[in-house]
Amino acid sequence: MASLTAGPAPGGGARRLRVMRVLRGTFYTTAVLFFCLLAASPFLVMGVVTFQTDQDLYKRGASPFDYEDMPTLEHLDNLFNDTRYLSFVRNSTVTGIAVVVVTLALSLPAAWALARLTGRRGESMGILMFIVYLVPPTLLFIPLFRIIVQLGLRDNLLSLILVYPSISVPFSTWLLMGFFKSIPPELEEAALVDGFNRYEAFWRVVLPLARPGIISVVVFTFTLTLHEFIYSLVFISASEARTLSTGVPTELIRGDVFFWQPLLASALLVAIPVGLVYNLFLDRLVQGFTLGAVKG
Amino acid sequence: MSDVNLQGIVKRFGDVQAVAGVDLHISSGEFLVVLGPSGCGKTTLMRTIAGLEKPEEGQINIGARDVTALPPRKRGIAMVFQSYALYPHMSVAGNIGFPLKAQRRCPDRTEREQRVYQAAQMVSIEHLLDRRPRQLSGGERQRVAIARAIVSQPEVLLLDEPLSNLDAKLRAYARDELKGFQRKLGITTVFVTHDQIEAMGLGDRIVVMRDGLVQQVGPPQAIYDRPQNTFVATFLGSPGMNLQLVSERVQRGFRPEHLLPLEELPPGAAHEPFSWRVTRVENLGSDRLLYGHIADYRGEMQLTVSRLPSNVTIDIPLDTVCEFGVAHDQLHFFDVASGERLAEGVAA
Repeated sequence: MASLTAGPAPGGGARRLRVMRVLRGTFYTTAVLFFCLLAASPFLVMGVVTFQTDQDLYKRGASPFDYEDMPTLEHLDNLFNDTRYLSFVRNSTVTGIAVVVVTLALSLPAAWALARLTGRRGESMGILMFIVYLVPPTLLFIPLFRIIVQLGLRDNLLSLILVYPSISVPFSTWLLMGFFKSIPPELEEAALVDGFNRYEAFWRVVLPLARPGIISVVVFTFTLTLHEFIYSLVFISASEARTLSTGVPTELIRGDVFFWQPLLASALLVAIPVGLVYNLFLDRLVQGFTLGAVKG
Repeated sequence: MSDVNLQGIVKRFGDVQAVAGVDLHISSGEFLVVLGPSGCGKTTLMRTIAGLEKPEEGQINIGARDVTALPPRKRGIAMVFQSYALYPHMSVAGNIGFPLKAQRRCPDRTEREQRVYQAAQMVSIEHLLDRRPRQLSGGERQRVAIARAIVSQPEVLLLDEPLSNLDAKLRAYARDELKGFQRKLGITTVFVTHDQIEAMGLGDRIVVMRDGLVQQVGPPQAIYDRPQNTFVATFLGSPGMNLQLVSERVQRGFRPEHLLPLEELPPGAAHEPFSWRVTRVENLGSDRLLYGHIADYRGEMQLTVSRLPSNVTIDIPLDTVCEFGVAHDQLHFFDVASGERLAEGVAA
């Protein structure tokens, strides 16, 4: 009987198996490390260059990791004191948070309605909304600019808070629709029977279960407002009202002179906290949340 | 605890009439089973009582209140869904306590916890209160759903095929338990199922539905013994009643267990003789099912089944003409066109 069951092959076979396993493990670890390094390398270079003196940076043939002079804080000082960097950060944060709030306020009820109340029609309307998202801002910025001027919102963050949802709401609605559809309607009905009205049921049962979707929407929307360039460039020309995406390049690139160290420092300083926050939600983003909701 | 009164309930989905005019009275404390094949409107009827569907016509009363226009939360009902619909983001205790929180009837936290514990104890899941629904087995989930339903002491308990997700062995046990709770609590209960064994075993009364209409209402045995039409006759019983044309207008029916070898008929009872050829025997342990054909009045052969209990040990040779019979008082007669039961006098 023993010969019929699969077990470790005797002698040399077992060793070969072990060697194979170790080799495979080493290969995977190396590959993962390689890609991590590849993804992290821009940030690494940013971090290293931030503290370099001009002599080190512009020395011919040297790697960015060569430090001959002592690391310096001069460029950070320059960034914070000689530019409006802090006001760019503040403007971007305010715009980001406001756009996230507007986007959630509009797309949550829209997605819920499309997923639940209109049946089949909801799906085709959702797709239509998604198509709207595909119209590129480069086509829209001129007409939108005229509207913004007429509303008297030039050089005002409100212009961005008003226009960015035109990109974020269709996408978020479409994304949330999928999440709402994966929540069994019986859960809502159970909440209705248990004593809540439809809105309370949405708030108490549907929203907590759609949390991974909501977090995705927040991440998507906030990132969008951080890197969006065209609208920000066109609608806002006053330096003090600029956001990071346009403020940093206009202040730290003058003609063909690039102020590399403060430029890279400014990018890094924003990337690190945002990256950390996104990582906090990472497992929420991937969690299969509705497991065990219905029969199994 | 209240009675429930349905009057002329009609519910349509587009052109489909899911419930086509149902009148029903459910007495206080009664265990009523709504039985029918899938798509007969039984679940829609229950959802209408719950307030999850609004009927196009008709009126629903719970106790003295007209609840037709009220939302589910104001009807004093609780419901156990087929999928149990447990909230996956809450613990078992959170699930059971949810109706108390929702109805704001029990603002005191310790009292709420106590009532959750009592409800859990009632269904013997007090040791699972900290678990999440996904960590529970099917049977445990069902108990959580029942505890959640009874914790708020509803006037009416609605159960939508709550046993259909359990395996066969557990189901018999759960049936017994369910009946036990219901007796203990005395809640007016409506139980929807397509399983006639559940219906026969649980119901004080059974409502048989088909195509949105009530076919028959009555105690399980009465429905089984005197089916009102051919649908009820063939739907109840396993296998269903044998039907046979005896004239252009009349159909004769008899249950498989009443088609017996002549020696097994009660001595001296008037009976209708049947000579038939058994072509196949299924031995089910407790019973033997005999399959064969009996000619109707036109000479056309119709599939007929006989069920012999295991204590009838008589040997039935295959493909040989055997003499069987049905006692006269076990024969049922139905109108061919309408399928309705004919009064005994008319049939004779």
